[in-house]
Amino acid sequence: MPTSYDVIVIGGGPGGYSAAIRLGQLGKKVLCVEQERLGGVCLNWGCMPSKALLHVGEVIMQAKELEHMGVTFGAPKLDLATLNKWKAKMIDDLVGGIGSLYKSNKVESVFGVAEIVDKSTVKVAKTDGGSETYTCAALVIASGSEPIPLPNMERNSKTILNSDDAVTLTDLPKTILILGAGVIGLEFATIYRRLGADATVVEMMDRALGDTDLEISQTLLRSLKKQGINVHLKTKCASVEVRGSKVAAKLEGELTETREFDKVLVAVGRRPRTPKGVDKLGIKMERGFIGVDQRRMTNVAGVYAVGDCAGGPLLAHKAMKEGVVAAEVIAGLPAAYDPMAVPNCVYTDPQVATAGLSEEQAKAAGYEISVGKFRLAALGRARTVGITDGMVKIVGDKKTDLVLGIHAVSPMAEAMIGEAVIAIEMGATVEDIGLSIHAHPTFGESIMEAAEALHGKAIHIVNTKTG
Amino acid sequence: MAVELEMPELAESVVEGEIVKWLVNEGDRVEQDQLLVEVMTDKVTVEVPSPYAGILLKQVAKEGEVVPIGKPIAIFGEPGEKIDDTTKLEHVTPHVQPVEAATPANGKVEQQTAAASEAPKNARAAEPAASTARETADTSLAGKPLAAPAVRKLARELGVDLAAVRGSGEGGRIQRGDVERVSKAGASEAAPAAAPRAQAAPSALPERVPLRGLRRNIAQHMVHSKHTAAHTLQVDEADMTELVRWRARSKERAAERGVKLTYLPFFVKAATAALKKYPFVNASLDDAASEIVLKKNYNIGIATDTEAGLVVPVIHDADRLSIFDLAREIVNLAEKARSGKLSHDDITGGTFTITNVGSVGGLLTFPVINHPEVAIMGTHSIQERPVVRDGQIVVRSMVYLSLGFDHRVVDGALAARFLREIADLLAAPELLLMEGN
Repeated sequence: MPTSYDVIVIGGGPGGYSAAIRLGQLGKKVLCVEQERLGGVCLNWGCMPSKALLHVGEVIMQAKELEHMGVTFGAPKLDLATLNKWKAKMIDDLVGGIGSLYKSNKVESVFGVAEIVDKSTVKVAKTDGGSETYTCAALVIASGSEPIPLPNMERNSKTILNSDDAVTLTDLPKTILILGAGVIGLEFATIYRRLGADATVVEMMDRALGDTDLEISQTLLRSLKKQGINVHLKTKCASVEVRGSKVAAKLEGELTETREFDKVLVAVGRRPRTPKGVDKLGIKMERGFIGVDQRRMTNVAGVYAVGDCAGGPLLAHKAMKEGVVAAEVIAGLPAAYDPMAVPNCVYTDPQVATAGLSEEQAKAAGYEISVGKFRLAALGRARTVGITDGMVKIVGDKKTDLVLGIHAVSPMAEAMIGEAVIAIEMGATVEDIGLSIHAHPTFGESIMEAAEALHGKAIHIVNTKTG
Repeated sequence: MAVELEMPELAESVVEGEIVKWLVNEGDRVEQDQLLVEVMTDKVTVEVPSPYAGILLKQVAKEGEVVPIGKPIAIFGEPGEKIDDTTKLEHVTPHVQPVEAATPANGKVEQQTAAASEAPKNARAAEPAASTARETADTSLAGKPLAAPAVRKLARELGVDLAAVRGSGEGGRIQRGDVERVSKAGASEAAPAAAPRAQAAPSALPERVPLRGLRRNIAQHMVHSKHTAAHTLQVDEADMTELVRWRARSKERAAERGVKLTYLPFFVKAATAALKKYPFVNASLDDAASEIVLKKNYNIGIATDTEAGLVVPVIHDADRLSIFDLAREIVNLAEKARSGKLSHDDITGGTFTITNVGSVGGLLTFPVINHPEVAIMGTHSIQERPVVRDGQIVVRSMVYLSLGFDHRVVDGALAARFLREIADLLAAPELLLMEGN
């Protein structure tokens, strides 16, 4: 007799572990099947290790910038072994944290590769050998996503990398070519640049960061350029050739040349990963992703999907919310995934954080918009840390003054964006934000100033009629 | 000057009416005598015409709301006229057209189906949505109604479709109170609720069908009857062997006269005869006067299953009708019931009811008395069964008869005698010939 559970969750990443923990809280008997490590890409190969590396690089950079303020340090000495050890421990601690949350919520886990036999039966080829079959009343698929490989650029993890390799710093390249100016490409460009490499980014599209507000992404690209990160738009890498320890890349487009790099990082995007046997369920797929409704239920009753495998945006916080929603729905609660805005953060220097509609998206959606902008050059707090680049932009509905989107390219943008999400979720007007006192001096003030600027009332800039 | 329209008196002894459907949207112009609103009582559905030409400023009573006679249902005025709590209102009671052939089943066949299935509801939703789009354009973001996350969650918990809520907050923002109000009213304001509700799991979600119109009437009526009468059950059986032969012999003759002869006319005939013999079964209890009312006419209700639910058309003066007449009347009433054409008279005045569950199946039923009557008979399927006659096991066509009766008026012995009388009449159909015509 196979062991039977109320719910089996396939995948222990942010979507899967959030679902499993909430299900545990709601008294369900849960089994989580994870093929590698709890925490998924986010904890092990994505958000957490990349942010750790970004932090290290940021401190190195800031130390260097203190020269202008009369403080000098010696040149930084990088001990990769220690850095990797620290990073590995940080990750282990976090992964262990998920393990203890599982324990305290009575969530069971098994490591191995899951295969769906039918909607209530999952067979696991266990990592430690053998296979076991489990049954369940409800199934949550949280199998995540994986980097998209490029043909003829086969990953060898030494010279041709994907993002999983790139967070594992075995040696520091002097030059690195990054294919793709999305979030991952630009964050790695920032990491490698801060650690001393020469980073070149090529992007086939005519803009960076996908559909991020164009003015925001352009502002970021200018800052990156000052840091020595060159992003070449409308440029593709036609081919690569491994020459010993180097890679020769043939670039075509705005930058046309063949150049040798120590490493090439393929960061052209991620694609959904679905468990074996999912096709047997007759689940409706949507462009490779598992189709779900507001409850995160698939067209097959009792089968749910959350996180990257269930559609974009491919963000951990979106997956976590979905995991909680699916868990609550399974427990009979009236939950639904119905956000008005999903924030997005990019940990470059300066950071980019956005919520809601960009100027172009708002126009495309048929809004007549008003736009308020505030540049960091006029922000006292930015000046105190020697920063002049960056801006905050508010897109409002001209007719109702509703906040449609808030976009920041600024230090601490990650901390500011929560205000934007709450504003949009609560149906705040731009005026509401302008009328709310923002602490001084903070980076967050720039949101208030942008709001006031939209109505031509900002104090710290000369107001011009906008939008 | 704005005019307030009151709920008209819809039919005799009717004290309230349920707004089934507004036929005119707020803000639209109405001509005098244009049909304005469908109102349903426990007896009939009426389309109320407008006594006034002007703009329908406000539907004071929402669809699904039950409004006492004389209370306001709508406000009329001039184009652009604003109304608030201080507006002086003139009162008008519309004249109701003679009750258009309508029973709880009428119109409701259509209405009720609309309320019971999601698809037509959505179809209906599309229409008012267009008219409210103007109002809600300012109050939605990315096509979603403007409501904070906690309000959206509350709406899900209460099963309220936010698209159907008019927000009272600034710029039409939907507040907690708005959701609670709509939930309590059990009705939508802009459009019927048809939101997918994230509730049960892991397999199928329950579908929630609003309790409206006929269904609500049935619910209220049944509970009232169960709470009022001292429900008791008596069961007997009748030997139908002779009657089965009789009917077989008469079927052709009946068909020649265009009559489809079922067993039901015989049950009605036997019941009327028994009611004449036992007047306390053809009665009601007047609680207020502490008197038992013995009815002098024999009006037999026939419980009829329609798509919308149970209706009980009445065969008036059944004691004066022949078997063929009864058969015709039964077919006639059943057709009217199913096509929603029963008149007010067709469904009132009953003194006793028969529910022929035998046509559906089952062994025995304990029918709920059609209050204020004091008894209801259930008839079941006629089956060949082995029975003992003169010490021999023989095969006879048998039927179970059940009697739900109000023990306040009818004692067990009376019920037993009454049912036995019917059984005897059915067993010896020639006796039915002796009964009144």
